[in-house]
Amino acid sequence: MTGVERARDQAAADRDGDKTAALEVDGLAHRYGRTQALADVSITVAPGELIALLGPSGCGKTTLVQAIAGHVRPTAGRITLHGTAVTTVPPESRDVGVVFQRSTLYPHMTVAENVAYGLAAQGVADDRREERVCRYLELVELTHLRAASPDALSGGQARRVELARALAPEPDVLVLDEPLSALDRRLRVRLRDEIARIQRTTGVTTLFVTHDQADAMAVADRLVVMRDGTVAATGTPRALYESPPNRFTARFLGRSNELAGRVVDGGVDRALGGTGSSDETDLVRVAVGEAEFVVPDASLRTDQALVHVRPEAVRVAAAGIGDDHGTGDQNGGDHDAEDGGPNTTRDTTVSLGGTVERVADAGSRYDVHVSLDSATSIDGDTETPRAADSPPTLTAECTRCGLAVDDRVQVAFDGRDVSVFPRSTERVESDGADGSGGIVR
Amino acid sequence: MSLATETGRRRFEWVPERLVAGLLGGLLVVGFALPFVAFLWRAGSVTVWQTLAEPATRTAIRNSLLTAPVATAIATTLGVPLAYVLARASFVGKRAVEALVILPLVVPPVVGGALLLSVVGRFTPIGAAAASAGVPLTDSLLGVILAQTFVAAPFVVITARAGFAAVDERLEQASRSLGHGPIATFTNVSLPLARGAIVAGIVLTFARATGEFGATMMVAYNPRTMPTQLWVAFISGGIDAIVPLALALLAITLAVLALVRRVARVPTVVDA
Repeated sequence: MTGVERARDQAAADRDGDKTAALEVDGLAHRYGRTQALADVSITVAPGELIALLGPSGCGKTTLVQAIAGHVRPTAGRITLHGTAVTTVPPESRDVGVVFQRSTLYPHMTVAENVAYGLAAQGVADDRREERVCRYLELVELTHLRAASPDALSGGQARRVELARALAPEPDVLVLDEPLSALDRRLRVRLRDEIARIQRTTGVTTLFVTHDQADAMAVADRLVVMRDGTVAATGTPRALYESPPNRFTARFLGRSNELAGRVVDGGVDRALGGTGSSDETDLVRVAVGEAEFVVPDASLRTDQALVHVRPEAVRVAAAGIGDDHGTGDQNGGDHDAEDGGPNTTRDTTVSLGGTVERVADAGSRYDVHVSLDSATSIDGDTETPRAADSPPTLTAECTRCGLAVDDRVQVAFDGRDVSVFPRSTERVESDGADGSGGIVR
Repeated sequence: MSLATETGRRRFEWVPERLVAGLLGGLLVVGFALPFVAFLWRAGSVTVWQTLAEPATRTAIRNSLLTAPVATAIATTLGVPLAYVLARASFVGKRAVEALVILPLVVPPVVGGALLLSVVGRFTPIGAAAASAGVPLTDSLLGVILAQTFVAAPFVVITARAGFAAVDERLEQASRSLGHGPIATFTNVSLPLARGAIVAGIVLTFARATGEFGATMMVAYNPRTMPTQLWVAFISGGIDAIVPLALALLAITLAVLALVRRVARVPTVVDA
């Protein structure tokens, strides 16, 4: 049993004895002059948890971590570490380890001296300091470079030394502020797995800040999605990816098809007596093109809806082949609902006809861009549609579909794989991926 | 790193645009070198050691060696913290402070001396009080130090400020997050990393303080320092009379420069 593991078990023991959150941010707000960087952010991190703080650049992530680390004093709100309010406590007096985006290794010290730097402040005795430095250099597998100068390290090595330096004082919370963004793609995947491993080994409560959804989803226990200084969504990566609570999250967490939908019946559930789930969810029938399907969404109050579906949930086949859900077979609706319970009510396939516009080879798969025949017909005029000469397209992923441009195809997706959002409540994004349809990212 | 050494070793190519730059720059280099060489030429025909052994000259050298280091020490002790504040903090009136720091550089030293006199002159309240307490601020070594500090301190402030500004603030934040307070962070991180610039600033300040004439002449014509003694010698004996003292002044400045470079291991003073 290594010392690091002992520390982890100690942390686990502390956790069992102490149920308070490792980190609690409550109603945090900050403004730089007139710019509101953070507006009312609240998050709770359990001991030992790895949270990814995800958001586009400029969403306030860095301000939030700077406030948590104590380098920015928030204009409002509270920060609590293990039950102790630290909002106004200087950084050196809170046990928060930080790794910044750019290297902050001290060029006038060796690797070992860098790692020992935080221990000196704690007054750890010399011999124990030496032991701790060895232990953490071992953890990041860089023992052989202990006497090296930081200038001699590769990008990945420098990151690992910084990780060891931040961990050596055994902080309550480790904050990683975009630790991978300066690295090339292969290295970042390796290092992010490394970070996940080190986090599991040490059990340190970690806040991993990133703008990259793949990094976030790969390492995090839980995601906090930020937008414009607020929290847009919180949840496990899978839950947020599969059923995003809002359009921003759906678009940010991966590629997403957006189609215009129309609410054709806002009160399906009530009429179907017995199919209504115990929580009295309203079922809503939505039409996309000539297809219809039913979703449970009580919040859908407008008749215009945005329908989101992930490319990997869209099946595409040449028209006429395997066309068991053809346009004529609109099995969304009443007769399906009569068959059984609430599950079958939603088990409806949306099927739309179209023409292959473009096939992009993405290596492990093909992205098939299909221009749809009929989605325009249901497009409302509440939001700016795309230019008339560019028909709504849908992107589907397939591995061996053998499709070529101008092939007539049938695209299909399951109503359960769809997220539906009200259309009028969210502003039109400037990137133009709105209106009748289109792919985001 | 390897890239730097490779480009460093590459031969300079005389493409036309570089030729123009080379010619213009070369003209200036000649402008620097010619007077220097011509002046040293005269040194051969002058009795250097004999002049340096004269009591007046020796007193002047001693006074300079006494006052310039003190002025440099004062400028450094007060200037480096000021440089740090200017590099890191933003506060109301920062622009005004920056302008004040540059002021001694842009006003002629004689005017600087006059400014000083208006505060510490014999008939001002401060000057009179100091004189009656037995520590006259004019025509004394203290007056010399005052004048030298006033004129030379901006060099260390400006250079050190640039040095601190070049240190990534995140390095300091990392130090704070690793448990070191603001002062420990300053001495462990900011100071060592800005060392080159600070040393360069100190050297420039010392050189300026040693050679200070205009303000010193106004505030303390007596006791003589090397520059004021140079002036006296020039008035009475012309250029040849000042060659020995000028060489001594040059030697002292170069010796300090070489010593500091050796001790502080700063490769070149100018690009530090």
